[in-house]
Amino acid sequence: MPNRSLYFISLLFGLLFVFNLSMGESFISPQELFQNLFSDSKINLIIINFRLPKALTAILVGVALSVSGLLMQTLFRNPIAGPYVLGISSGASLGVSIVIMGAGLTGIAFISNISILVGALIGSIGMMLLLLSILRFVKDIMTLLIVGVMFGTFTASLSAILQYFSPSFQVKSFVLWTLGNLSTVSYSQLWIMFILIILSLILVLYSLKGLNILLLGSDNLSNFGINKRQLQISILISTAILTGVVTAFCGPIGFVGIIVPHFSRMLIKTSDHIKLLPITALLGASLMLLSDILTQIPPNGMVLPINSVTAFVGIPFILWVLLKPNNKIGI
Amino acid sequence: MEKQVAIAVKDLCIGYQEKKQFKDLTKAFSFQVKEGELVAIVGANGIGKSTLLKTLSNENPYRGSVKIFSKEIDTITSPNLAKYLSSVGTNYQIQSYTRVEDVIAKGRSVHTNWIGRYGKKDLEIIKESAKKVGVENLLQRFYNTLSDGEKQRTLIAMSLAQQSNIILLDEPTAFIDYPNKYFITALLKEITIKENKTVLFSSHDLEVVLTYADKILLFSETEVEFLNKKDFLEEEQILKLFNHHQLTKEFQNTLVKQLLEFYR
Repeated sequence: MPNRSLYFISLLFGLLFVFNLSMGESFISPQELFQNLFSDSKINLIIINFRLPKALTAILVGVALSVSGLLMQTLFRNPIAGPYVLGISSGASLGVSIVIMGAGLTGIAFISNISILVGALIGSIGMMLLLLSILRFVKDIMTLLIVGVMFGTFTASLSAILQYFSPSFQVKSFVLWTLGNLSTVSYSQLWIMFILIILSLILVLYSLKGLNILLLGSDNLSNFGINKRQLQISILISTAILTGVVTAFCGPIGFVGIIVPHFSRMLIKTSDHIKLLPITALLGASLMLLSDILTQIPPNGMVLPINSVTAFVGIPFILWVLLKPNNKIGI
Repeated sequence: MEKQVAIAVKDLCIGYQEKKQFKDLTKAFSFQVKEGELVAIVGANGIGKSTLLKTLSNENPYRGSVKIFSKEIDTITSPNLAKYLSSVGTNYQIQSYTRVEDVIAKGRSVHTNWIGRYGKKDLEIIKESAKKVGVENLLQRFYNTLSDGEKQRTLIAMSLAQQSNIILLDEPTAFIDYPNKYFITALLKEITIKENKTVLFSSHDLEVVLTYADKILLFSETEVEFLNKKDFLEEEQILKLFNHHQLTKEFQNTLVKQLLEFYR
């Protein structure tokens, strides 16, 4: 079945991509899209300068978050693990809030994209290290989740302190960032995202074998010739980069990372990561394209924050995972 | 053809690491297992049977020497060790959407390329291994829906697919009904005879141990002994298995006598 599912999702992805380009302040029909593809018309300008980068951002965000969710669910053996729930996004947020507002407090007015990126990456890698070190002492998955939630709250209060002492314009720029935004990413930032995501996906490919063995329980790795430490580190680095880079440019976007791996498992009914990875990546991209389309529901060019949309989709699903007895979703 | 020594253990102390100090669980013991031998490990709960199995697969610190095909195990890299030695543990918590064939396929991972894709040959070996243990009709079933006997057979197929010379199994007959206990142990015996593999398994089921095992590794409070069946079936040896502070000596003696009568 995986092959047929792959065709189906690729088709869905293609349709959503075209539809995503059509949607916006003014609707451009797919026909017009193609007619103006190579002309210098106004429509072409709108597409190239505004809608295409936004759609490409949505794709990269969807791929990165859902793949990192897949890795974390396997690593932590937890069906509701994901970059957002376990606090990886919060770690990245703390890094960014320190960069955005801390810069103002210390009088360094210079905030570049790179410093935000570095802040987010340090935050997400730090949080991932913290989780892994906790995993050495506690085997209990619930404890780990609680730690993730606590850290989320902790970083929120740290951010609140920073906000309290920061000038209002910086507070606003931080709050806007936390709501999530796909439309502010420029082409040069897209390139940075693309390269970092591709690099971590290569690392993910190297971890596929070990990830499949991890499904048996992490004690059994060396019996299958897998180096446990190496595997944990490469998963750590790839998830932290995938989450960190997305969080840096688009804000902490929640729930995509949790739900997409579940959708993929339910769809192709396998736990084999070699088959799950492409499906998860494509589904993640499709879900982000769809969420971005949904942000444009309000009339008159108003746009909902992307984070609210993904939460509306994600929270009911997570509740269903948690509350439905005997569901086959478990990892 | 002369049978090679598969596992050579010399002056081995098994134990655990505590604050950078090695704590012994047993006195030093030595034994040699040849190719094609089926060895049962017997002894009380918590006496070190699983620890020994972990030590042999280089997952546990140890003192002394453990050689596999005359190479010290801590000098072998884990991918190389996995080609010589596979091990089946207990307590696998396998994800819901994992099919029987996926579980068996994990045994192939040491032979696959960096990405872990299974080739035609791998798929053939997976089918073959499933056939040997009689789960070829269950390949598409989800592992978690199997019975305990079928699960254990699947795990054995997984280690067969790994094509290692040595197979270690931790209590393969626990939680399993009589027909399956005999089926599984007979299967292990068959593997040693037909494929010249060395198999070590721990067990609390004396009936299957005495029916099939070539050699017995007896763990007792005082020592670890490597015995053949005849030496094991002596009163003083069997008594060690019944050594427990809540049983009176008299009761222990009666039990052992009954058991020996039954097996002789």
